[in-house]
Amino acid sequence: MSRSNPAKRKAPTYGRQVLASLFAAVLIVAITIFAVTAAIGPGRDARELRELQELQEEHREDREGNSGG
Amino acid sequence: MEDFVDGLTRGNVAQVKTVLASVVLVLALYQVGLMAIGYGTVRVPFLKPKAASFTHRAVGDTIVAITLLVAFMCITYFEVEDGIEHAADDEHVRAAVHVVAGSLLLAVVALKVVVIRWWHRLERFLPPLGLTVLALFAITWVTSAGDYLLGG
Repeated sequence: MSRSNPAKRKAPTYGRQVLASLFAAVLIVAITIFAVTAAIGPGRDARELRELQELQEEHREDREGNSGG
Repeated sequence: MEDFVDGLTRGNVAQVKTVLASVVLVLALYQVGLMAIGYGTVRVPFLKPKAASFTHRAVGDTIVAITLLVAFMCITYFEVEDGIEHAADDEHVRAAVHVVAGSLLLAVVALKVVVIRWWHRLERFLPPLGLTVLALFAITWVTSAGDYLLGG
């Protein structure tokens, strides 16, 4: 007698579907980060660039100071 | 706080905000698709409504966390009044719209969380609340990250 009792039947689980849809979300995030980072390119106001600009200004001021004095 | 945010992003506050805001906007669009399946408006063979609703809740929690982080960075680094006052001449309107949309967004997201967790009598308003959140995400993105990416 293998007829299953509806009351004892397990509720359907959607673990795989949930995992797959969460994985899709992770994939969407990864693609977005990749695309937006590529669109931004090297930081236009990155700290390194600002420090480089400051150094260049210092060098320019030094040169102007040396040539003036 | 300004130095903390600056250090956290290694001096690239605007860029990090742009990436995070774009991630949130794309996830918000994914959320609409999930809830269309969750409410049975769209039927797909590979995803049942219950599974879609569960993922919607999990992704929604993530979106709220990222949104709060972006809001924190925005308010502490750029500040509300400074953002509008220090905007370029032709950008005052954009900055003002961004501040209003961002503030409304936080309020509507907070209301949505309250309705989901505690105020169950108003659950019938969740679909319009969700669409409002999506619209505000889009306006906030267009007036900041979108402008940064597309405006040059």
